[in-house]
Amino acid sequence: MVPPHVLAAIIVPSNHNLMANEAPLLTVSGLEVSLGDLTIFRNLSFEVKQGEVVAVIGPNGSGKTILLKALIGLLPHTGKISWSGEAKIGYVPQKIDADRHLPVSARNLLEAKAHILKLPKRKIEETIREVGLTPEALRVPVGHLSGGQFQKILIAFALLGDPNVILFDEPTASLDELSEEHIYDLMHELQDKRGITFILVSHDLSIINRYATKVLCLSKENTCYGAPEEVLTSSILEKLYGAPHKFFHHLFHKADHTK
Amino acid sequence: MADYFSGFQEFFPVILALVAAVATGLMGGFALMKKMTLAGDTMSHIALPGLGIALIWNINLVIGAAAALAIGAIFIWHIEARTDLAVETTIGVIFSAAIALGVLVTPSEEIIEALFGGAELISVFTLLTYLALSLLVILYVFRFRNQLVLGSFNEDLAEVSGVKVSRLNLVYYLMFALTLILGLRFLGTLLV
Repeated sequence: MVPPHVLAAIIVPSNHNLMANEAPLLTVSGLEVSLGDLTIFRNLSFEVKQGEVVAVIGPNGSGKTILLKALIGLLPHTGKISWSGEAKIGYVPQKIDADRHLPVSARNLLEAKAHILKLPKRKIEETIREVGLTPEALRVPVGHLSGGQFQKILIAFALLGDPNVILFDEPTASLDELSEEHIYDLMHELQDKRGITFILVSHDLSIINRYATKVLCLSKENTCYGAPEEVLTSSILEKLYGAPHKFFHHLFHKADHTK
Repeated sequence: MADYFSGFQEFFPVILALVAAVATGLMGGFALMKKMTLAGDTMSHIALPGLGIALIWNINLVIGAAAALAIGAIFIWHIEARTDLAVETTIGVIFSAAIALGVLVTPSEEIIEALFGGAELISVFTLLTYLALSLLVILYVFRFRNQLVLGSFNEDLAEVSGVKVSRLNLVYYLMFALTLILGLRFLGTLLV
């Protein structure tokens, strides 16, 4: 598909300004997704360039997870979703979506994917090292793992196959602060070393403030897309989430603070 | 050739039982992961109308059962893909309909054998057919085990990893039905 040298060029640590002039990695225009006769969102348009970190925000039920699933072709939609030929996508679903009661270990899962993609065994070891998983975590049934370990395994699973864009649903939901920190560090490292593009759904203010280069806000009527300092204003957030709320004042305050 | 084998004919059921045990064991492992372990029990009843029609038309019972199970498997797959219902629910619907239809069409004097199976002598042809079917199931599991593991873990992750989940499920149900046929002749629809 893509010649190896082209891929290597993309994965080389990237300078955001330099990449900004390149063709977008993802172009979405006039996207509409409905479940049955319920329209989740309509007329959504945005572009994502290589190396960007896009945070998708919005109230519960605004379709953040649906958007990620539509982007990887798991849901029927109208409108245009076009990935550039260079895009290699990794997906980290919400933890709750994965069946954790299976009698399989993380190693079984990683080996299954490596086998399907015809990757050599050493790729599994590399990925495990990169994510910082312990040998024990790989051996036990996935149901016995802690939330943080399981999240790392989902990340390792997404990284297998060298994606250059990762769609990440709630990276730190229900993790304690230490595990959160680990996940952030890991994401930061991946972005830094490999120039991986992230599209992430998050309610987590610190992640948006620290890493996002773009914010996409999602709701049935009002969608907006832009740099964090343009989008995270109190008036836009109030419109997005309905009534003003302490939480979003806090969000606004923090966003203001980082300028 | 039949003469050559006839001395061993009494061992045929043992050979068949062993090979069928390997095949059903392998399929059963994935049925466990897909939470459809009891599905085999109910799904086998779908064979009943096929057995009934085969008895009426005087054709091979296995062919009748296989046809009914294949149609049932396609129905189950289709409804599951369309509605997002759990497999067990879908199987439940198809199974009750099949039982009703089966009881209507099966001649009453033959229904006992259809329900409980029979252990008459096995011909060389039957032995070879069943061995081939068992082998097919075993090869299928070895070839698609990775896809099946990912598919039962999380269908979205499987799809993103390059697995065509819908097709995988259809073939799995058909293979599941095939596995049931392996036991059907000897145990009957009720006991498989």
